[in-house]
Amino acid sequence: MGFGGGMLAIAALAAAMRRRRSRDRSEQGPPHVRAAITVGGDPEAVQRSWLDLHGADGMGLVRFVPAPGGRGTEIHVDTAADVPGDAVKDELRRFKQLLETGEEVRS
Amino acid sequence: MRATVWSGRNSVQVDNVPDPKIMSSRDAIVRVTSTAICGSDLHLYDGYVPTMKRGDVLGHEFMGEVVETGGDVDNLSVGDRVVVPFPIACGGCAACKSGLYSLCENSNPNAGMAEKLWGYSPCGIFGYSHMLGGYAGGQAEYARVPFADVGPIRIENGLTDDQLLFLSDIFPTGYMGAELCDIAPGDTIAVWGAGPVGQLAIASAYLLGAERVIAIDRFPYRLDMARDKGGAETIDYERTPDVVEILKEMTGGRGPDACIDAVGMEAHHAHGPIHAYDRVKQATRMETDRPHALREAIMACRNGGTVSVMGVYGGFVDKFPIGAVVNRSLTIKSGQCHVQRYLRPLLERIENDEIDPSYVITHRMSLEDAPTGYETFKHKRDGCMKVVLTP
Repeated sequence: MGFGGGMLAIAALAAAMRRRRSRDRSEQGPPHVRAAITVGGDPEAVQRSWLDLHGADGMGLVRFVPAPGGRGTEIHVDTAADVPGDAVKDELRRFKQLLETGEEVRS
Repeated sequence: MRATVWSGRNSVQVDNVPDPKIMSSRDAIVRVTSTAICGSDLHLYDGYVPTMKRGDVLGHEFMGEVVETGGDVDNLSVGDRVVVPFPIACGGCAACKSGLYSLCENSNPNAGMAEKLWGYSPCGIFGYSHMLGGYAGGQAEYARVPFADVGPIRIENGLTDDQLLFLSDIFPTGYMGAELCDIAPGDTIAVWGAGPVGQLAIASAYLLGAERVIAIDRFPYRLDMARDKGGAETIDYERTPDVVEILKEMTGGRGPDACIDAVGMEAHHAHGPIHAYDRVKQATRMETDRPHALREAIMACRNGGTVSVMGVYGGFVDKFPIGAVVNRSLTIKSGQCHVQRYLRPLLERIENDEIDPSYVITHRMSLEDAPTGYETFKHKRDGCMKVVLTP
């Protein structure tokens, strides 16, 4: 799966967020998509980079938590949106690559 | 350019493919001067590694001359002579910062595929399936080297390609296999597989202070090299199949202090029915790997000893003697080699004449003859130990 899928996932995630905001919060949706990744850097810096890259859309689904023992920042995504879990994971990896290597890694 | 491409099970060919291009500011393009066929390339050739595609450029052991660099590669210049490590590693993630380069968290763009098979993804590797990144390999006239600011080591001495090429994989791999054994004075190390990695594991075990090294194989020419070049004692398991008992006897009943599996997933077994059991299960995909060497290494290792697994395994094995591991306090260590961290110290060992790994080379061919090289190596024809190709 390429990064196109990842970008699509974030777009779908953001759209789903917008839809969800207009719905009753207690409404139960499809099974949750949960994904997490750990990246270097403190949560504030990581969150700033996330906002720079993705904007604020979908932010309510994303948490930035300090990893224990100075291991960086855990990014947790938890959404009931109808997005493929693999695509969300790919997007998290792409974000980690950008932060840690300065580029999207391509073969 | 000309490149060796995978063209299906038991088939490689040398084809015209597009020249590699700089895709990132951290890339370099290397004009390959020497490249080798690795034992693990035979696992691709034999069709045991999933996610290969026809036309994939093979090869992860190569060195050459830098002909182009991206804007952020300031450690290399055009014209530099370099050896390229087979793991592709970014240098910036937690794994790389810990020296675990083959576990780079960023270099495999297809990490999701590897996670499905292995739980988590290791690094990307040149020319070694799409699951490990889909990168074009180095059995070619040119190769694109990602993260060239991290991986390649610049060579500033007058040593030959033959002396340096194996820094790319098999010398560090053999060395790490020995290092994982935590060798103490007086230790006996047993090495399954006297192929190129096994030979260099034998040599490395002595470099790291082993008292005795015992090599186990079935090809007399390989055992001869282990004995004559490596200084190992040898066991031919086809002539004397009861390897565990022989090792016990050779070590005063204690067993080897550590055992190195330098065989991996396509092991053979002297007992026909046992080999047939695993061969059939592998052929029908009920197990992916034939673990005879690993089973035997575990059974032979002394109580409290270490089993170092450097042979390549891809998936799942059957009849794994976990009871021996648990009840006899064995430690199993493994990993694809973290080549980047060994390049400098092992280059110094070559420069200091402590070792010249080129003794494993038995065949030199033009890149155009790569298909013959694969066949010769696979079938162990003509005393084949290691094939070096020159583009």
